Amino acid sequence: MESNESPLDELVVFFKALADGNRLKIVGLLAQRSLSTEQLAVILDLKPATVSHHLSKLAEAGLVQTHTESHYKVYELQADALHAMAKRLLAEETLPDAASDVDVDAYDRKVVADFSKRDGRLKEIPAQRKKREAVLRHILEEFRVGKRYSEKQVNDIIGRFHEDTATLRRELVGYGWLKREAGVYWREE
Amino acid sequence: MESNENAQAELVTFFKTLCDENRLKIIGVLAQQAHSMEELVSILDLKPVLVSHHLSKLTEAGLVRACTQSGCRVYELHTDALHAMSKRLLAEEARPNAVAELTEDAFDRKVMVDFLGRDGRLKAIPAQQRKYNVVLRRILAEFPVGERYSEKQVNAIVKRFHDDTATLRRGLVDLGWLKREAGIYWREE
Repeated sequence: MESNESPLDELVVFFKALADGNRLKIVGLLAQRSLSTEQLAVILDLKPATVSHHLSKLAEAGLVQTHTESHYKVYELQADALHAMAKRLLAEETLPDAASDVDVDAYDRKVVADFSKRDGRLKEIPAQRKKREAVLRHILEEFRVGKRYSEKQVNDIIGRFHEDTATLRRELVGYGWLKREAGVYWREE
Repeated sequence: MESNENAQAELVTFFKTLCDENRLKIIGVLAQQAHSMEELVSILDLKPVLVSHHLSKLTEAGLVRACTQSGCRVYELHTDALHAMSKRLLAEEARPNAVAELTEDAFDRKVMVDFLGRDGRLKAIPAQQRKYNVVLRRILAEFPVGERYSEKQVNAIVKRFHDDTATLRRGLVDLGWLKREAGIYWREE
């Protein structure tokens, strides 16, 4: 498999290669022993051209490799590659990579735009939980990580968005996004 | 062993579900946190009907499930299904080859794997009756039901598999798989 492909392309190629009954059969047969196109064609009762097509899809995904044996092209399963790929691609840590070029903040931006007036202040505090969270995340961006704020300073910042500073301040603390101790507030990362 | 065909169909559906860029993106996004349909629409910049279609496919495959979070319907990744399938894929290949455990279909394939040369022709005619029958069954598949053949035509077809056409032709007639009358051969169903 090409190393310069994006994780997403790589995943699509891998899953496409395996999303076919005949290709899964070929993988099963090659797991027993290496076989030529001619052998596979007879065993699966398929045209050699069809078998070749399937083999090229599997080769593209790095699942089979070929060598020549007395004039016949012989295919072998890359069992290690299959193991490694299945483990890697299905690992939880890899999955977010598939969304690496996805803009996860788009929803927040849309909600904030919907609820903001021209001057950047909020028309209202969203009643719906998901939307309210998006607005709170937007306000939170005004607080610098590590800096300490008095309650008055917090209210001043929130006041730029909406006059109901008490509600918004309590929500930020409620979510644990702003920490509070002895009247001092700060944002943790 | 569970039905091979069913297990395979399930694997194909699973891989088919995953070989779509947008579905992989959804999985990637959901791997980080649960999201509502509305959020996914903004994040992926797709039409709601499309997101809903992808979510239903992913739900069908057991990869995603809907739940309620603070009054909102959200979708979360169901990682158990991913892990179960990845195990299954690996097990498929590590499956023991002991003949006793093989289904009839798998036994047939194993015999063909063992007796075919690289050119797709038989290296030898099996001595054991059960294996001999497998080979004859495969040759029989080359004869469409209802068509009539001269002995010369039968030999030409059998010869694609092995030079000893007389033995194999007699084998097919002895089992009653090819009928013969007045020098004409045909296959009955």
